Amino acid sequence: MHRLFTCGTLPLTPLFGRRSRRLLPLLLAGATVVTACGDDSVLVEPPQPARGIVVLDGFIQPGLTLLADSGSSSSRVLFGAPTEFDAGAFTLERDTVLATSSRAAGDLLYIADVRTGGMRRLQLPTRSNPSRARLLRGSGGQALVGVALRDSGAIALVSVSGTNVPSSTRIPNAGLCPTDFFQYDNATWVVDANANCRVNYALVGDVRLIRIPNTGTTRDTVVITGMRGSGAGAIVIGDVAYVSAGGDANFSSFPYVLNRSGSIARVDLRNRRVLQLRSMPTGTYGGSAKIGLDGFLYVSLFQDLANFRSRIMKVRMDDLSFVSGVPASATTSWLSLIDATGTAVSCGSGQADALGRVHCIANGAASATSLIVFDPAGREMRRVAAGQGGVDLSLR
Amino acid sequence: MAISMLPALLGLALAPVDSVTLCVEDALTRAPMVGAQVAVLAERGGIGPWRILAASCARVPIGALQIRRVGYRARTMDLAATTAHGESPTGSTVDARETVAVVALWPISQRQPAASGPDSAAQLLPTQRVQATADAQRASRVAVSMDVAAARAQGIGTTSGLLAALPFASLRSARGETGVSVRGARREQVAITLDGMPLNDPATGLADVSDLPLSSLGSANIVLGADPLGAGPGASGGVVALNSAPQRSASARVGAFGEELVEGAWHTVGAGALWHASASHRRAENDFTFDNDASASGAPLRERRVNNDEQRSTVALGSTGAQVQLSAFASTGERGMVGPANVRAYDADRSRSTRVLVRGQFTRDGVQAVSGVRIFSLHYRDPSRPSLDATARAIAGDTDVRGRWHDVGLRAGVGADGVRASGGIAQSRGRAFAVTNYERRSSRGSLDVGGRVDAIGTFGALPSFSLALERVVLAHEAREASLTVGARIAQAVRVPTLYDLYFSSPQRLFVRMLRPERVLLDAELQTRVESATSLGRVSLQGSVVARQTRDAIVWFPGNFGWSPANVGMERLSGAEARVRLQPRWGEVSSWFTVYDAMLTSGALRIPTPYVSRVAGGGQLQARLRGVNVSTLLRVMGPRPYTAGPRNPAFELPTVTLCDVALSHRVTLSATEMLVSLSLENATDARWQSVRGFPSPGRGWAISTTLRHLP
Repeated sequence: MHRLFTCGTLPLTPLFGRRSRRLLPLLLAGATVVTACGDDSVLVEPPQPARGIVVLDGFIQPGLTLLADSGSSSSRVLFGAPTEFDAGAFTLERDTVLATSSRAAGDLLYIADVRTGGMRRLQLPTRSNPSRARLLRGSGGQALVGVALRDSGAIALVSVSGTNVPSSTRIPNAGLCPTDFFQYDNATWVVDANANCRVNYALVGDVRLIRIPNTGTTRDTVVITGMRGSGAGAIVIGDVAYVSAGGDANFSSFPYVLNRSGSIARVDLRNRRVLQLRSMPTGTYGGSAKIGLDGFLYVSLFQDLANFRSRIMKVRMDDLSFVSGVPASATTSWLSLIDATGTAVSCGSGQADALGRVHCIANGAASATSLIVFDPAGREMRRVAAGQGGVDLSLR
Repeated sequence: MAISMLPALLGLALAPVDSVTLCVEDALTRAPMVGAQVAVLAERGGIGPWRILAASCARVPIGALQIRRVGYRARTMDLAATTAHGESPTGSTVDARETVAVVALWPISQRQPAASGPDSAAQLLPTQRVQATADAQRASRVAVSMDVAAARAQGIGTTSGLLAALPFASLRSARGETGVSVRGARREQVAITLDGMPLNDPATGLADVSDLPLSSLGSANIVLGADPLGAGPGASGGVVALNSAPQRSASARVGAFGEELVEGAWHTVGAGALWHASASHRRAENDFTFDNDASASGAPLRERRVNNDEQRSTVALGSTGAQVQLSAFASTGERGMVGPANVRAYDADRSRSTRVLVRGQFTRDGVQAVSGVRIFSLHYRDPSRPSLDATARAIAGDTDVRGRWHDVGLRAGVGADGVRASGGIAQSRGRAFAVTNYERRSSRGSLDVGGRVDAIGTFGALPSFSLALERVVLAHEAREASLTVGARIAQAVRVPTLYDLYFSSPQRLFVRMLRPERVLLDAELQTRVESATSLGRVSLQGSVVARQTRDAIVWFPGNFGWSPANVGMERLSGAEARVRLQPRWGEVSSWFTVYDAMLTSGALRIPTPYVSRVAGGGQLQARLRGVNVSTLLRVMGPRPYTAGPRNPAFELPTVTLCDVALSHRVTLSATEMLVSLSLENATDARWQSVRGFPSPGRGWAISTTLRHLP
């Protein structure tokens, strides 16, 4: 999930109409500034480049590589040994990075401040198998962080204050395998992968949204029929949640079998119903979605289960249609990104800045990571070293 | 030396004797050998009945003898001529009753140096100077040997402990297995052999020696540097050779962390062969305390290891005849597979490993045929997630023939590897090789040159070579002093393991081509100084080394899990040194290495994980009237533990480990009893050999070994 409005929720729902599509990138870019600065003058500012790029190095020497919008210099925030970190994604909310280690790496929560380079590591319940972490509140050195605990079927709420010992509470009965969550309308909404994550992540049923009111014990469940995936996540814009999941495949034996491709859905939170479900292109696997600063959704996936080429889909928010024709001659559903020689570039974890420039990461020999930036036409315009073992990226 | 000569000075050398102690050893490795056969040559040209030596040393009648052993060239020697003079090679007069005649037998594939006389095979030594840990002699190579009997006196009770005590060896153990790194190489670049048979699993390339019982071994040798001619593919960094030795012994050991060990060995002579058997059972709780420095609180937490127990049982059988030698080894072990210090997800996991090794060799008319089969199996169980249980079974078979044609050694063989594992993993391939070498040895030096061609799977012909020169540039016979210099260059190859091949293509459909890892150049300049001094014999050896490996096969995260790839160029440069003093009362030695091992891939410069820039060690042994006191010191500098750029945050800190032992040897009739008390990691250093997996702190052990003296 990538919540843009953690300082306050703006009523963006009316903007989702087709007429307002052209205004949306501008509004979203400005809204990000609102989030960070609390400034009201967003609508008169032109789109700005990203303040910085954060790459998560998930393997080898785990940590963050921080880059600027130009130049080749970078700095690092170290997380720890590879046996203590195995996250494949992270969340960046304002200047706070949150990432978690699963049960295989010690059930840990990492909180990093990309401005100061500080990092704090917290122990989560043993064998709880954490998934996404979200910054629910944060100011003045105090923060409330929520973490979806897959094997515990719960959401942990961790209060952090300076260097004090954190305290935590738990929202139990939060689904079979909660992988993400958000707060909306005095309730916690859990994205439940509905999978047997405790054992082998085998899918039990369709992905669900489980609404847990802040008071009371009732549960409302919205089943996203047809959506499958053990790594489901959500992005909330106003009253709409964009839920995505990677699909269903059998990796237990060769050859791998794709049962269902990933998908993305729009869910009306106010009325608690699924508005639309869009499957990713036939044969693809994966579906990790980010919202670009240009107002489009960017979904990372594998082209197929044969060669696992990473691809990036550009998706319109209002009707979940794919933006094809990038470049104009391309016929594929995904972005056909090319380097200076016209050779196709395969990269994952992409996100566009407010100028529509797609940023993505690619790992080369010895897992050396490159940040690659493409202009709106899909041509490579920047390539810079960005650490090693990169798995995820986010723009500030 | 002066005291040792006292009996001779008193005239005891003139007393008539009719027998002498004969010890048989491998001319190359200096390893004591059991199972040799001795016959007396009659004056009229006949030969007496063959007697099988049930130990490496035995009393034999003084006279003309012929000594033979399967796999080695027979030698003739005249002990009568030697002992009649009563002189050692240095000219000192010795008492024949206190004398040991050492005969070195040359493997069939090796060229035996030209003999100057029938007795030149024997080196006559005063008993007091016979060292239990004579170093292997390899042209221009750093090679060190350690005898198991000497190791037991140092309180060492396991094969892992034996290897840890070897100079230049760096052991790594995470979940009970033991892997060895030498000369800055990765574990899979070191070949470990048992009587010449590779122990490396063809699936992983790694050799785990933790289940080999000490009771079945006689010695261990470590030879640094690529060995394309001897060990072949995979021996880029060096070779650790374990030598079995039939014996009659029984040993029991109890120690800290719930360790209990019983083992025994027996042999007998019958049907023209030496038959031997050994068995062992070991178990340990390994429930040691450790500092969990991966805790989230920031401060290390004192915790206790759980589910880290292990139990292993082994049995070995064999026979050594005049022409045929057979051996079989089987082991099974179960252990808890506790994960890294901060991970509780694997607390209930278990594994059972089984290994079966069968080997036979046949010698006739100077030609030797060797065949072997190795089976490795692993069952991994996860009680909390049974669907993740896994099984893997690897099998390897080899046959080779070796002999000589004039001065040229020849060897050729074929083999096959296969692995089947859960998840549909199935890989197999065939192998073939041919080796030729030429050797020239004299008292002034040696030349050893040869080439090898391997054909493995679909990788085509893989040539490699080795050239070694050694020259004694200064010699002073009276002082038994010499200065030797040598140089060696070699190439080597390591083909991808079966798992490398499988996981190099995560999608399994379109196999990503993985090329063999090529050591383009393994170069070494060596000098060795030896001299007898008033304190005892001193030897000093030093080497400067360089190795350049193209297409290093390293595992990195890929687009779907980890997978191996050929990445860049791996370069190593460094120096090694060892000094050793052997006074009458014991031994003092120290070693030191400095390595810069770096993988270059694009703009990345990655130090080889777990290779210390600086490492060293020392050993002190003092013997007095059957009491042995020993101290073993090992120092490892910072060790990078990731395949990433050098960064102190991702290095294990410097660690110093100290083991001390006190042992007492008592001889009762034909039985020797050794009681040993040892403190391992006496300073209670908190350390990790693999990041995240704590090693035990201070531990103790008491062992008793009964050994039948021949």
